[in-house]
Amino acid sequence: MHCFSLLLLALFGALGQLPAAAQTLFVTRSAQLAFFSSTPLENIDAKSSRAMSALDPKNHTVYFKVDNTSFEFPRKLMQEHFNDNYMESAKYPFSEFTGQYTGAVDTEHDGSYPVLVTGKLKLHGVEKPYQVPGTITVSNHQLAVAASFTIALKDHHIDIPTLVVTKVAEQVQVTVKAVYESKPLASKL
Amino acid sequence: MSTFRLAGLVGGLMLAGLGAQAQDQDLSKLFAGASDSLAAARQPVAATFKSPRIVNLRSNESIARHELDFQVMHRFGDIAGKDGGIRTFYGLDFSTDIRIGFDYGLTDRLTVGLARAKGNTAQRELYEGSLKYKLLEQNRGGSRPVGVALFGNAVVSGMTATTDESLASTFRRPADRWSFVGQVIVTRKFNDRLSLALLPTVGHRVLVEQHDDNTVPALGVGGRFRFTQRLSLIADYVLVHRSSASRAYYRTLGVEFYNPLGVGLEVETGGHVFALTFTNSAAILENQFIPETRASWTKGQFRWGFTISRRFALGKHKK
Repeated sequence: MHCFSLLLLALFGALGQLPAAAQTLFVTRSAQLAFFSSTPLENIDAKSSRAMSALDPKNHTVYFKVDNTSFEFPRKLMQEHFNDNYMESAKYPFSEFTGQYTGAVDTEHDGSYPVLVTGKLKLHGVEKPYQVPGTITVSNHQLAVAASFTIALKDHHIDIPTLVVTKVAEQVQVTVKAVYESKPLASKL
Repeated sequence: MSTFRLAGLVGGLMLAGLGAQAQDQDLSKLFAGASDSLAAARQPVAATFKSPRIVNLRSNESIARHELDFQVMHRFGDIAGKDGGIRTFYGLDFSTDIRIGFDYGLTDRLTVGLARAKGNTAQRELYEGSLKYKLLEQNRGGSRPVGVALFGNAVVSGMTATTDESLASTFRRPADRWSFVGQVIVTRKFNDRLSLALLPTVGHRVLVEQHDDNTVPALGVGGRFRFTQRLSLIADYVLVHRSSASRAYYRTLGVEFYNPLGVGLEVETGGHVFALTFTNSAAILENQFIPETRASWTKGQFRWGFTISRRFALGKHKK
């Protein structure tokens, strides 16, 4: 037998086993990210419903990615300032979080599972470690994640000029809500 | 070793490889595909310019829906030359033109404007109505490399008609009081720092002096260069096409027309955009400074001026 058929066989061998190796990933492109900045002078809240997220229950990993320009503000001018002056979205178009969670989650049984997510948030081009408590909810094979945490703007080198320091808070409260598509994705990675 | 076993071994190795990959698989790859990148590339670029004005010329920026932009513009007298210097405090004593205006966003793309300007030609006491429409927006991916906005205004003079027949203010009929400007504003934000604009323009005045041109085409170029997050250099220049017959006639009267050149520093404070400008043109509205800039930089006939643009949000906040 020559090399070609050998290779073919090997390939079949691998393919035949593949379904066992494939794992389910939960994916969404409509996760909700919101943040809230509060000072005595001005409250600023913004929301994106176009965040992308994936959760891998086997490896206990979770991933978030959001297009910074997808955040919607009550005022368009705030949105422009957010992208142009603070986030510098032209230079850093996306914010990303990669993390791993601890805590037992049974994706086969309905319930609300508290988890602790440890990972890295890359925002404004600056990566920082974060530890965030969250909840994974399983309901009828559908997964959802919710979490809330605080970001200090200076951790990510986002400067607030003294002129507007009374309007933009130094600490911003972030809430995350992702409901994954009910049909999990068979990994193609 | 039999071929079969070898194949099994290779298959097993490949499987192990797959397994290892799955262990530390990168979830980010799920969103690195073409469709996700394409969606991001379709997003329009933000803030090509920071206010509806560059120096003298308009920018492509419209006012978002239900927001109001309030602008105050001022042009002083000549800084140097025979009317400048310390005697007039470098032009402060002579205010050549003042404009107060409101721009309101009917939609995110369509802005309607109302303004009052003093005026700096024979025609004064000007009321301006304008429309600006953002036709195309430049996108991040570059599949649409430029933005295109359309601008048009109608200006009417409210002054009492003069009796001097030679002036362009002897309004015999109401139509004589009007002038118009139509403009295509083509813009490109090259990067975070540099934005440029090209503005093919046509101005039309119903009533002009003898040997003056009613319709004057012009080509404007403008730009903004951002030094820091909040400080930018702005500049614009207008290439004016006045007929050679008209130029020759005015030359016999000792009058020369110049192309308007404005440079300025733009400071953004969040809510306010403040520009300190220097320009040879004395009038603020295109209807006047395009055909009738009679002052020259080289003769010290440039002036300082400022533009303050302040944004207000009207209507209900959308939640």
